[in-house]
Order: sequence, then structure tokens, then C-alpha cells
Amino acid sequence: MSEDTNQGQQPMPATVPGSQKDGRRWSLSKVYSLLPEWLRSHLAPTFGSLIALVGFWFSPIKDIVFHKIWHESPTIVLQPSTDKVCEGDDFVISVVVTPHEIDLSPGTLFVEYSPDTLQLRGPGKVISTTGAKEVTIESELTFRALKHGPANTHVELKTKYGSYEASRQFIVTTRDTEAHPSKLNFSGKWNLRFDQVYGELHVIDDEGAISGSYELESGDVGSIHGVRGPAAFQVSMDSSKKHQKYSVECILNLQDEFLELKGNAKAGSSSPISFYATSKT
Amino acid sequence: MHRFLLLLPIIFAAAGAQDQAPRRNPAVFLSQANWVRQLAAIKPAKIIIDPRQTESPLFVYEDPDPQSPTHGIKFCWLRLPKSSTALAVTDVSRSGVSNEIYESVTTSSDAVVMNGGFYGFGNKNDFVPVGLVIASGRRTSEFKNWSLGGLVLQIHGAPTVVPVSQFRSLSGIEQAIQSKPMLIEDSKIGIKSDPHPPFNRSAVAVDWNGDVIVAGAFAENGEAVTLIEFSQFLAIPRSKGGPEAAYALNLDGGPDAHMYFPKAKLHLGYGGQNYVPNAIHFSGK
Repeated sequence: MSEDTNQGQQPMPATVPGSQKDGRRWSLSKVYSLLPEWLRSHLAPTFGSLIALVGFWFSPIKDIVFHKIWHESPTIVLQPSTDKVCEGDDFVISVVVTPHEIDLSPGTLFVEYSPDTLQLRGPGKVISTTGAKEVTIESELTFRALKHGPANTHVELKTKYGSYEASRQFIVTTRDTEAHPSKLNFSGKWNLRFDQVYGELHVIDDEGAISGSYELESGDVGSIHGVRGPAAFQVSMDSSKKHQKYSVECILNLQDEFLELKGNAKAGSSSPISFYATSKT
Repeated sequence: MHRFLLLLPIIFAAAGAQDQAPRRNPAVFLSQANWVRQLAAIKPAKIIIDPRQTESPLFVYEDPDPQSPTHGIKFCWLRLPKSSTALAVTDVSRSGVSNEIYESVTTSSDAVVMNGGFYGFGNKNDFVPVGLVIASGRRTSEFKNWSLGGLVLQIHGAPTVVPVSQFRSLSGIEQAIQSKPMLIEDSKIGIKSDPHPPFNRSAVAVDWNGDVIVAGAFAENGEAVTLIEFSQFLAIPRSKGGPEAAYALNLDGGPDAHMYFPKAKLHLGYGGQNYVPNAIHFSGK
């Protein structure tokens, strides 16, 4: 039926769409012809460049080129949730990333720590990161302090453009309160600053014969041995990690509530290193 | 059992290898007191501390064997004739580098400047001398009624050492330092036991001629000898290289034991940061 109906009609001219195109072509060419000659000569390259630029902007090449120009150089800081970590404590170390010059790409965070003093409770030793455009906490590492001693945490963030590291050292302290040193007996725990590195000094004072140990946040540990008088503190410090022996000479200063051991340490003929220990009486 | 005995040398050798600089076990060395006498029997170094008095050198004994547990310990003694020796006590009361303090209080006539008696803590947490101190006739610290010990003192220009049991009066004393214990009394060793670890030591003594003897025992680490070992050294006869003291008074020890021989520019003892309460000077008359 429909065929019969159509037979009596004039077929639609095949040029209808074509005539629209022709019209547009006509319009474009008319517009084109209206343009000044100098502009017409630059139009095609400009249009081509524009297409290339848009293509570049949405392609992965942009990222590569930008990283060639601006190097990815984030700052990574490990921020513990507490100033003092005691044996048995659970605590968090936040991995804070600050991008510089260019956004930080996604990557992988590798976590290392002192297994003798720390246990990583989460999220894991290998963590995927999403990248960062501004200051971001990339991860929150939960640790448990296992036992007293120097502890070290270290992270390495690897992106496809680089590898970035950060470390944090601290001391896991004993939970029980130790006896305070007194001017008559130096036995006990002292806060130590040795060559601008902080740590702890554990002294056993046997009527002037001194023995004990020390730990520094740098991870250096060792023993002390020597003698003291009422005023002088003369010990040798043996670093078990650096295999270095220091000769320490100090004088005792008595403050209102504090004892101070102030002096210096020497290793062989090297320049003196500052030694300062203090303890509340 | 035989196998075990055969292994003993190996065990000892291994122990020695682990500890290249073996530390003395005081308990063992108390029963091996001979080491002090053996040390005194070796040829001492003789240091002329005053070119005008070559007949009174400073004798220094040191174990030359670097593997020996007593290597590094120096015994020394010096005899000062009574006829030409004067005692002076100075009230120093200063903190600082002890070598520098002793040098600063030295006078041109001093043959030796050495540490004095003990000191402790005052009411204001300052350091104060303990026991009698008389410096140039002025009493700067009061007499302590200790049951033992003695005094090095000078009356009528004559220095001597007096046990506290024989001390009667303060009158006429020009210079004095009270200390303890007596190491030698009437030529007998005054120390029967010493539970304390080894320390640097210094002492003033007199022989039967009345000549003054200054003596010391020093190690760089401050751990030289026990009081027993020091008294044994002081009792060794002259014929066997020792000072042969008749009376000897121990002075403050440990880091406070110090002897300075200005003409030889020689310091013995800890020279670092310290407090020096007073000093004993022996000089030519």
C-alpha cells in the first residue's frame, strides 16, 4: 500500500541535504572571502595549532612535559601524635606531604621502622597514594612501642617522577618512673644533648664509679664508664654503632631543681663536641 | 674433666681476644697485691722537677706491657728534704679547667702544687671544704671530729703528717689540711679493706727522717688503684724502689687527685672541668 502511495509522488531530490551543505559551504566561503587577505593566510595554521593544543592538553604528554619543566619536589614530614612515647604505647605518625611547583603524582609509600623497638599496626608497609595538589596527610601510620630504646621510622614515596624520603628518630622510654639522680648519687636517667642530638643517659653511680648507657635520637647507642667527684664527671663514651670512643669531661652545676652536667667530649684529636645532661632532682 | 682442662687455655685466649684492654677485677687484684711491689721493682722514670735539686727526682713507675691489666697506671713519688721544704695551703674555691687553676695558683718557688682535702655541698648548693683548712694562719674550714684520718700541717716552718689520734691542739698551726684515711701509720699499712673501686689517688707522707714525700697514682680513665694498693705502694722500702713512708695521709681522690710540678710543667691527674677547694704547695725555703 505504501509503495502505491509513493509511486505517484515526485521523489525527493537527492540534493536536499547537499543543497544545505552547499549553502553552508557557500556561507563559509562567503565569510572566508570577506576576510582580509593577511588573515586568510594565517587562519589555517592557527586553526591547526588550536586543534593540536587542545589535543595536547587532554593527552598524557602534557603531564610528562610539565614535569620536565617543573620538577616534582614535595616535602615529606613525619609528624608523631605525641611528644613522648613509652613502652606499650600505640601512637600515630602522620605522613604529611607538601607539593612544591607542581602537583604530586600518585605513587607508592614504603614504610620502614626499627623492628626491635616498634611494631607497625597499620595500614601496612606498602601504601598506595593518590597524589596531592596541596598540603595533605598521605597516610597515618599506627605503631606500637615494643620496648625501651632508640626508634627510627623512615618512609619513601615513589612516584613515576621521583622518589622522596623522610625519617624520624625518637626514644621509646620506660613506663616505670626511675629514681632521680641527686647531687650525692648520679644514678638514674638524664636527658642528654650530645653534639646537638637529643637522647638519654642512664647512669649507675657506685660511690663515684660511673657506668651506664646512652641512646641518641640519631640511633646511636653505647656505654659509659668512668668516675666522678662532687663536681667533676669524667667518663668515656663508647659508641657501639659508630665504633667511636669519646672522652667526656664535665662539671656539675646545681640549679634549684635540676642537676646539670656541662662540658665536652673528644674523640682522639678531633674538635670538642658539646655534652650536656640534665635531670630533675 | 681432662678435656675441659685442655680447653682452658683456649677459653682464656678467647676471653683475652674479646677484651683487648682487660679491666682489673678488684677482687682478684686484692689477692694479688704483689703487682704493686713488682711494679716498684722495675726501673722508674726519673723526672727532674727542679734543676737545682737533681738529687730529688720524681720517680714514675708504669707497667710497660700494653697487654697487662695494670698498663696505663702510673705510680709516682717525690722526696722533699725537710730542711729545705715549706708547706703552704691556699684557699682556691674555684671552678674551671683544673690544670689552669693549679697553674694560676702556683708561685715561683713551688716544687709541687697538689690537691687538698675533701669537699661537699653547702647550704646554698655551693661547694665547701670538709675538714680543717688553715691557709697562712687563717682557718677557712673547721676541724671535723673524724675517728680516723689525719692532718698535713706546718708548725714553726716544719711540715709534717699527724694522725688525728695524735692531734692535740690547733694552736701554732700555720698551714693545715685535714683528710682521711691514714694510709700508713708508724710504717704499717693503715688500710685493711677497701670495698671501693680503683680511683686516682694522691697523698702526703713523711719518712723517718722527717722528709716530706708526695705520692700519687694516676690513670687516664681515673681508675688507678684502690686504697689498699696505694698504701702498699707507699710502704715499699727505698731499697725496693718505694717511698718507704712512716706516716701517709690520703687526700681527695678520683677526678680531684691532682699533682702539678711547675718547673717541669708536668700535670698528673684529671685536668678538665672541676672545682678546686684548696691546694697544697711544697716549695723550697
